[in-house]
Amino acid sequence: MWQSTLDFALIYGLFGLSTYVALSVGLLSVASVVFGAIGGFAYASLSVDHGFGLWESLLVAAVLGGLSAYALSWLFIRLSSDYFAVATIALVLIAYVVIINLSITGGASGRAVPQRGGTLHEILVVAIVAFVLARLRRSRFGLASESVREDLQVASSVGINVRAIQRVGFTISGVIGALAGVLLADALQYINQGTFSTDLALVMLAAVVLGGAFHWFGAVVGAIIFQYIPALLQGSLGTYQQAVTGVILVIIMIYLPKGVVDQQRWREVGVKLWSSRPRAGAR
Amino acid sequence: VGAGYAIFALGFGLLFSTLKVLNIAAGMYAALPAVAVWYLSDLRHWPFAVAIVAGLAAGIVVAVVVDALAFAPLRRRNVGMLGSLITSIGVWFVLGSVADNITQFQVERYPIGSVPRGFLSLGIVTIAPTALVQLVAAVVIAFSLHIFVRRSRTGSAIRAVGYSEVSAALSGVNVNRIVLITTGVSASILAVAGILIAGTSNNVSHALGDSLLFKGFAAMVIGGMGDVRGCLIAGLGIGVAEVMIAQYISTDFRDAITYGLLLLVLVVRPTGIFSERQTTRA
Repeated sequence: MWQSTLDFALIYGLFGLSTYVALSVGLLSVASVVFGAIGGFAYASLSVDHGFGLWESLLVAAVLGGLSAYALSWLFIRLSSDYFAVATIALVLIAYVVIINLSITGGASGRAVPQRGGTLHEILVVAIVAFVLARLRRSRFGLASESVREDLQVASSVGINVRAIQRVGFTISGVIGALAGVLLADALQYINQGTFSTDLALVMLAAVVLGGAFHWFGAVVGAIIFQYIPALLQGSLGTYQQAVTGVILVIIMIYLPKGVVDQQRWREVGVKLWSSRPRAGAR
Repeated sequence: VGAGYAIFALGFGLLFSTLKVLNIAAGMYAALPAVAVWYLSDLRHWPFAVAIVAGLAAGIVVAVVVDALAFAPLRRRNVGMLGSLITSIGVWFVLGSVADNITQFQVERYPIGSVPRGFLSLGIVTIAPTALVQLVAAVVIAFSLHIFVRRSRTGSAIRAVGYSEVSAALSGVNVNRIVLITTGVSASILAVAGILIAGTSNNVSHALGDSLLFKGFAAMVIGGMGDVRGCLIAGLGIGVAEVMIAQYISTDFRDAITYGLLLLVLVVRPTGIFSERQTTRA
């Protein structure tokens, strides 16, 4: 059981990273599961109908997820942040209905997927994604996205093309979401419309903010916490396990509003978790 | 059905435009009273009318307690929209779990005989009594809410808090009291929506809250946030459109069309169809 908990923690960590990338350019998005659905069903179709392997499918899914995120970004990025969040929720709900009614997704009966990967594949994909994100953070794009997140007006006044940065961020979010979807399909071996539901979308968002939305590491930590708490509670609490998860979430939000991984707070108490370049300016 | 969405949208819109919280738990503010009414009338054999009153009271108490425990500390710390959204997800978990445990994870229905069945004919139209009750309730609630928010002293205080808490407090508004009143009023409206929808659809479970949340949400955005008339028209419109689409086009894509409409309105006119022009500068 602990093995499979680790598998899902890693996969949800990927979904968390996808949400984090959107947040890091100032977009509150729950659409990661939509890209997850695109990736998952693409994998189901590619592996069963066309005999693709896991790595090829990951590649194709990443391209599909990126393209659809890029297309959607042209429609939605001009919305203000609250409405953008609403639009992504609507996307998740539409995806649910579309999945039930398409034949490639197996309709309401879902699709079976052969299991090709394992924990090793998941660790590898998470590591690659985390490496890329860590590099991006220190690039021109990383600096620009941080200023976009902190203050749109200031960012655009110093010559940053805010919408272009957000489009890139959302596209990366789509790529990572699709990768997570492929791995989730692979681990579950069966996916249907319920796999990529609004519940998962909201839980992922909560996990990221709980972990700490200001560093990519927070997204992974949040997903792991969210995966392990229910597993730990399962034996002792039975049917009220979900309520306890909710209470823990509320308490963390009240006392650690920036999440568990909050560099500033850890530095204040004198714990150095990882070496990091000191940031310019106070937040 | 549309009238139920409209009522929900009214309560949700009031909550959102005043407190600036995208409250995912609002669906549960509707589902819990519905579940409570079922529990009291079916398992405890209370008279149905008494159970409804008790359910409404329970809904208001739950909302006020949740606000005091979960949202008030956040307001004091000023964590902004994202923090309160996540907190409301936590609350949604908790209340959903409570609802699930009351119904034992089943989908229940109100006791037979408590909700009138069959159809009434009013001249040329035939209508189910529950639908009639919903429609009347929606119009009455919308009308009185409109008067309350636009004409009364408390109403203008509510709007002032919605515009800016700080300037409202500076001009002598007791913000905490207004937040309490807003929470109570919107919780009672949400509870009415939940109980009515449960009576019409014969579906008492926590899933009731989720579907209401998203449909009511769509109605609120399409109608314009905080605009009473807009919410009423949009809610009714969505209900009618859903029935028509199911009848003449296809049942399968009904929900997709509703949410597609939501996206369309967002892209074309993000402030809602009926909203007033606001002159706010960044």
